Parts: sequence; structure tokens; C-alpha cells
Amino acid sequence: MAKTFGINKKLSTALTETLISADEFRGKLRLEGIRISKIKLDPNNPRELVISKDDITIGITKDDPQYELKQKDLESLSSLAHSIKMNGLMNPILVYENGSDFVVLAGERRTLASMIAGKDRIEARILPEKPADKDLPILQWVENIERQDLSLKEKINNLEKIFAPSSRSAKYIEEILGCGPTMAHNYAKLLQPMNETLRTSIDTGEVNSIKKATLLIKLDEEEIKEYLSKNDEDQEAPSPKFKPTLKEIGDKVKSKNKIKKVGAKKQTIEFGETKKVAVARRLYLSFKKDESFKHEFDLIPEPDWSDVKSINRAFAELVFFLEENCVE
Amino acid sequence: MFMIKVIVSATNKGGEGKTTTTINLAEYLALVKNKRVLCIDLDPQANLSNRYIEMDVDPDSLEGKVPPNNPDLQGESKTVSSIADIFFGENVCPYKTNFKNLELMPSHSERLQQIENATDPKMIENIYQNFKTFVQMPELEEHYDVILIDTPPAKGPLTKSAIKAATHLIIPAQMEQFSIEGIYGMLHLFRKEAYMRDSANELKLIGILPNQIRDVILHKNFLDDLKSTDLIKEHIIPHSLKKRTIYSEMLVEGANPKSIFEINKNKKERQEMEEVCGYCTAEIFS
Repeated sequence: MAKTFGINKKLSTALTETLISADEFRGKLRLEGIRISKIKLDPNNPRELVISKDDITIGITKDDPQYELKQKDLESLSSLAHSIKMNGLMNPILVYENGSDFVVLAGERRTLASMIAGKDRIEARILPEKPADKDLPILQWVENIERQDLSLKEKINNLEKIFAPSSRSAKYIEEILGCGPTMAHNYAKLLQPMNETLRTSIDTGEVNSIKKATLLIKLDEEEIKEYLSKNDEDQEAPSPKFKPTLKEIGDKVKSKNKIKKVGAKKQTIEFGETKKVAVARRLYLSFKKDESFKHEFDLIPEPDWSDVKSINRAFAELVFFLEENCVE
Repeated sequence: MFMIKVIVSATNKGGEGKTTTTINLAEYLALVKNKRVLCIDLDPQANLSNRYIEMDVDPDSLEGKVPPNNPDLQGESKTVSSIADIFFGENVCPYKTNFKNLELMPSHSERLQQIENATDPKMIENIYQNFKTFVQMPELEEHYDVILIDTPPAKGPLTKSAIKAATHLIIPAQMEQFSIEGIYGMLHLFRKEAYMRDSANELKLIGILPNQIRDVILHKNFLDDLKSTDLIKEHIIPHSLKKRTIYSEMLVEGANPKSIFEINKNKKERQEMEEVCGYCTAEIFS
């Protein structure tokens, strides 16, 4: 048998794999230490830190109208800044090139904290250009979704940017964000119009959890106020502290549902339905017997009892006629 | 953005034809295509340098080759210039050669070996930066259309410097076991670099050049095997070079004619070489 020679499978696979990944990530893994002075914070970023780069370079003065908020931001960044000072940055930030500058897509807090830590440069993964407008909020969402420090307001704002009012179904949200159906359902609920009281309490951070908000959304304004005022009273007399648990809100919603179904209050009376023509006929005839309606009844022709449509029409006219003529 | 074309011939295995590829492509571009070519010899062995200028041998270091005086530097305080100077923050002056359109930045065995031995990450980063800055100097672009870089048979700082500064990479390889593993090493460097390049500064893989092919089953099977995967096939230069004595003869000192592109156009040795170089040129200037 002739001796044959060839490349072993493992090496051939390794060559192919190398080429595939070179192609797949070509230009996408550009990692550099860039000057923080060249970084712009994205005004459309979902995070709503009040503090800016200038506040850190120049400092915050007491006459700044947002002094308190900025001070709070500064505090919230201090532990991250400390960790950066001690151990450097774990994950590089994500930026895109904008002329000779860079715009932050993800990593606003890391950038500011690095400045506080006294760094001039920061590790950044650089995208060659700005992602398409429609991809940008999704990208930022994905970068931020795992983060615990986004407020509910920021989450909702971000969702509103991603999903136009016409495309806020749970199914679509699930598909785009790749989250579970329950979460998608919750997001969909939060994107529906909500009453002012709930909106305000989310804006102020009084309500800050998705679960709580999706439960409260089922209550009306008065009930939400009542629920929230319990907290207010507690703040005046802090002990013993009473905070309704999620379970309590849940129970309240459930008990509400027992009395009346979800949705606007019922204003109309339904007569029920039947498949038996005889029932309709009997009702019709009993009305016809009523002497006081005798004259009017002549105006409503007797329906064709073999045709359901005709019977329905006759009853609709009958109800209309009775609505006009019955005095409460 | 890179304007000047920077072509690197590299593989970490020795004897694959890195230097021969650089020489033939350089002479094709200079003599046949009338391009202004600068050859840079980053290999401490200085074989490319020896092709174009007669290197001096430093008696103090074993196999240490140093460039001779550069006539263009006559009367200056420094009369010798090598590419190694770039890494030490010094200016360099290319040497003219016996070929029109072709100039050389020669090697300097000892100094380049010093660079190749660097282990400090900061120093290595500096090495990369220095070389890239040099290659991208606007003055170079004024004088040359193409830069061709020959590299040592290694994956060290010198080869990496070249790849980081390159616009195009060519990997010459024999169709034999160890060579294929050398290809793998280079593809890894290529991948790492490609990851980091933005679209305006892409590193293009001209391809793997099947070199020194003989009519034996071994070579045929290896080449067929490589080509059997579509993705790899895409990166194999569709023309190969046979093992021919004439290619080696051209390299001998005082050879006449001194370049393969000076022999009769109808000779199959020249035609074969023109096919390969023509393909590469089309890739480079496409």
C-alpha cells in the first residue's frame, strides 16, 4: 500500500478556527489606554448621574444648585474609585471614536471613578464608529441590564427609548432583549400609561422595584396614595417601622380582583346569551303581552325565528326602545 | 491611516523562504512594476542585507554582521546606519543598491538581537511603537511606494513589530509538517492583530505561499489537504513556487544575471515567479 501523507485533522481544524475568529472579530477587539480628557460622556446614556467630568476636575462648590445631588453621586463613586486605585479597572469601558474624541457607550461610572482615583488614562474597548441609532439603546441596555444600581426610573426611561409606543408587547420585548417571558411581561406593564401618583413615586425613587411597581400599577390613585402615606407617617414616627411587604400589596391586589375584575368599572348590563330560540321567543312574547307597550311594539316587526341575526336585531331594537321609554 | 504599503513576510519556522520571498517581490515591484521600494531587514542573520550590500563582520561577536559605511553619510559623525538604530531612538539613512528603485535598511546582528531578547513589557511596547512610527513617517511615503520587511524565524518582538506596522502579511511555507505548524503560529499573530485594527487600517492577509514544492506525494497531499477546507483555501495563494536551483543561484554573490527578472521572459522559472508576484501585487494595490 502506498504511503500517504497529510495534515492531521486537529491542526486543520485549528487553522480553520483561527481564520474564522479572525474574521468574526476583525477590528472589534481594539483595546487601548485612552486619555480620559478625550472622553465625552454620552448625554443619551441611561444612567442619570448628575455629576459631570468638570465637577471632578474643578470641584463642586456649595452655591451649585445641584450641590447635594452631586455630593451624593460623588459618594456613590468613592468605593469604585478606591478599588480602581488599588487594583485597577476590572473591565475596560466601551467607547466609539468620534473624530479625535471618544464617546462612552458603557462605563460612565468607571470613567468618573477613574478620574476620582487620579487616573489620566483608562482602558477602553474602541468601536470604530457610532453604532446605528436603533442599536445604541439596546447595546446600552444590554451593557447595563445586569447592573443593580440603575434606578427603576432609569430602567423605564431606557425601555421607552428602545420600544416605540406601537411596539411594546411582551412578546416583542422578550424577543429584542432576550429576557424571560415574566420579565418581558413586567416591562410591558411598566410601559403602559400609568397614573400620576405612581409615576411620581417612581420618579422620586419612592417606588424602585419592578415587582412593587407592577403590583401598584393595578391599584388606583387613592389606593396608591394610601399605601404610600403609610410610609410617610412612619417617617414621622420611625419606630416601629411599618413597611408593607410585597406580599401585602399582592394580597391587596388579589382581594381587589375578587370584588371587581381588572379594568374600568362596568356600566352596562348584559342579558347573557342563549342558543335556544325558544327562550328568545318566550321573552319576546311576554313583552308583547305587556299592555302598556302595546302601541310601541307594533313598530318592531316580529323577527324571523329561523334566523339568529334577525332575532338579535329585534332584541337590540327592543333594548333601545326600552332604554328610551323606561324611567328610573 | 496607512497610505504606504507595508508588506511583511513572516513565519516562525526557518528555511521557509521568507527572505527569498521578500527579495523576489521587492525586485518584481522595483524592476517590473517600477515601484519605489524600501527593503527592511529585521532578521539578525542579515541575509537580506547581504543580498544588496556587502555586510561587514564584527570580529568581536560571533556571526555578528554590521552594515558597511553608507556612502550617503560620508563626512557625517555617524557613517553606519541600520534599522536597529530606530529602536534606540536614532535616525537612519537607507542604503542605495545595485537595483534601480530599490533601497535597503540593513540589519545589525548584535543590536537587533538585543531587541529580540527584550522581555520587559514596557520596553517591548516601546519597540512596537518606535517601529510603527518609523514606518508611518510621512517622509518615507515621499520616497517610497512600498516597504517590504523581512523577519527572523520567530514570534518575538521583531516579528510582532513588523506585523503591527504592516498593511499586508504573506506567509511562505513548504508543504511539510513543521511548516504547517509555523503557519498556525503566524495565523495566530495575524488574528490577534486583526482583532485590534479598525477598518481604515486593516491588516490584510495576502496569503500562504506554497514554496519549494517538489513533485512528491507529500507536498501534493499537504497542499490538497489545506485546500480541502474552503476557508483555508481562500487564504492560499493560488500559484506556488517549485524548488528550483536557479532561485538559489541568483542569490550567489556576483551572479549574472543578478535577478530572476533579468532572465528571458519566456523561461518558465521567471514566468512562475511573475505569476506569484503578480498575484501579490494585485492584492497589495487592489
